[in-house]
Amino acid sequence: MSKKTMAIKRRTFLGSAMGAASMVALGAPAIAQRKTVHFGASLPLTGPYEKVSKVYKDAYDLWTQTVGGKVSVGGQDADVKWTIYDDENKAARTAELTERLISSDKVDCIVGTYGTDTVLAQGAIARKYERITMQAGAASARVDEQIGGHTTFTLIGPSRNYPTLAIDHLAKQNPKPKTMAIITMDDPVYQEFAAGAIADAERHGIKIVLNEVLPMNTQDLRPTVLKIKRAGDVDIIYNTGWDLICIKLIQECVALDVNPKAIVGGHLTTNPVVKETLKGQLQYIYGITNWLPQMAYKDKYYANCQAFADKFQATYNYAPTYHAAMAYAIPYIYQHVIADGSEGDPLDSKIMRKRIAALNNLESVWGPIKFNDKGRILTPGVPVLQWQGTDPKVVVLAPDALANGKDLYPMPAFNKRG
Amino acid sequence: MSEIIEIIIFGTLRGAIFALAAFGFSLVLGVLGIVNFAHGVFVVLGALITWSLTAQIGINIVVASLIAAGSMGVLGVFIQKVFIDRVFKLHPLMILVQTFGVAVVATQLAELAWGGGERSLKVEFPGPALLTIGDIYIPTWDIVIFVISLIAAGVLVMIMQMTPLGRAVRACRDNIDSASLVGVDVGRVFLITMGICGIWSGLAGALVITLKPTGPYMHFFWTLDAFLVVVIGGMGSISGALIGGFLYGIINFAAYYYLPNQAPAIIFATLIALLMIRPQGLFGLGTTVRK
Repeated sequence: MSKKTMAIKRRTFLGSAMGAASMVALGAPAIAQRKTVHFGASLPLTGPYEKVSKVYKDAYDLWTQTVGGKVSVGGQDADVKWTIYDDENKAARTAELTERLISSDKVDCIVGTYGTDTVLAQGAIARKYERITMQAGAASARVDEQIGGHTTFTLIGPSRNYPTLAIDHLAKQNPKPKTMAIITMDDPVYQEFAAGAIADAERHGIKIVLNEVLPMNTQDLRPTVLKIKRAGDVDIIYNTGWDLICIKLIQECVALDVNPKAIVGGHLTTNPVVKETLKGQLQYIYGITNWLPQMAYKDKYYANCQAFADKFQATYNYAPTYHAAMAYAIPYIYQHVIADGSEGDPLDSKIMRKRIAALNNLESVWGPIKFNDKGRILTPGVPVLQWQGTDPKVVVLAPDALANGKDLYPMPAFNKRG
Repeated sequence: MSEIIEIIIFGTLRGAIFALAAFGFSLVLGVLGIVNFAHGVFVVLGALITWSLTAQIGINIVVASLIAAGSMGVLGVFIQKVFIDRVFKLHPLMILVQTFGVAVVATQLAELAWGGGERSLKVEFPGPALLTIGDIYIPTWDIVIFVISLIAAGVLVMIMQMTPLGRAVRACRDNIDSASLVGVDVGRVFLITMGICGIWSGLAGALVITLKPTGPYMHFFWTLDAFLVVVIGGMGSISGALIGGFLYGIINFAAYYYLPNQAPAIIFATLIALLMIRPQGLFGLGTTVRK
């Protein structure tokens, strides 16, 4: 090797070293100056989603308590600060509040609201500022199409896939169900849910005898249940609506003595209000749920979901629904991706986006975290449960890996249960 | 054919509760001449108080319902005395704004007390849960509520027709100035009218919560339902409100049965048509000319 070559190499090496040192020197203060990591969110804290919003808010709070109010930003400890506004489930209000969170409050991490339209409104503002959001409450494909991946990451699976495991499971029962009635709420996300249920049922040769689309403010399900009754032999009634619709559906089935082989109460039968209201009538009712305390997921703070659920119950005095685990996982993911400062300011949106997109089955109490190119979490399907016993308790039926009991099928008539 | 019969039966049964909720609205509209936007508050608070007394304290539901109804009567008097009375002689818009404000504040307070979610009360009725007429199953509890609504209507009619108080109320309904000239204490009649409105609406709420989950935010639906019943039946008439309730129940049930997603439009289209044909309602006693 000649002296000249060596000199160049030395110069190159020294130059590179100085450059690297300069970058570290320039970059380090930006990270070191972080005394606080500011999380900002809006939630529909008042109005029809008030109950579920409280779960979200409590779960964010539980995460803050769990981490002791501090997170690591590029290796430096910083205090956690939250700003949460009430968006009243109004898209315009959500947009205004997101603007405020970004422009005035200068939040570092935007946490998503609940509901498709509000999530889209939030995403539109975040996109304008080239920021990212992580949201847990919009299962609609519209989110993927409009803001997925580049602006928004979504922790809930697509609503189209909600019913698949349940219908696959029911199709295997004996006697095999041949007919199904569906209750669909008149909202895009519920219609996607129902479209999935119809496609899944038809795949198994189950005939759809009724698909009743109801206005979102439906107060009375008796006309619907009467229509189901008059539709003839209905083997499955599938509710794609929320907990209140499930309650009304079952109450009216009891009132009119409608007894299919199975009733699927929907994705919110584990909300406490359902059991509190229906009590023993909930027995034999199927449901689907994205999360249960029995599941074997864990994170660096909780050895399993039950430990998380116990802590939540002890702290807030009510049992966590799946929303709690999902909401808790949002700041947990941010926490994970901002801890590493090797690529520059970890709170920079571009770096955060890149790291979140690159997550490869990050362990969390919500399950393994990995996103597709639309920013939607990859999930194997929504587990199936059934309420069993006179003081009904949840039994998981599918998938097999999570199952802890057998079906009680077909459901006995309501008036023959003693 | 049996499909239509079922719709009529279930619509009528539902209509009874609409009628019970609308009696007070009709009276207040007929006597005071105001549209009380806080009317639905009586229904939902009556429901939630009944729930608290029964589910939380363990009081018998009959007693709880009476306490809830009585409480709403007191609330009605309070609203009249403290709020409406003070702006009664101003532009009618002021009363609309004020009762709307009362409804908003009362709903927020109710949400603080009971939360924003729904509550429901399950009644264990002794006897068969279902009665059958041919191949039609009718829940016994619905029939009980229907009968209670009829009795409540009967009691109200008796009060209006057979007591000095009722005569005073009717006098004010027909002509306030004339009633005042013959010595009727109009202010007192107004107070009593609002009290009656509260009691009957509170009773409706106590029954409603045994039929379906009820939450504070639902007050506006009940105000609207009561308004529509009165549009059909005619203001100021108890029998009009009763028949109006039944008809509204049937229209409502049929609309949600045949075209649920278009039901609100169908219901309002029917009412618009009715207003064009008979603006005073089927049994309306009041004038349809602007006062």
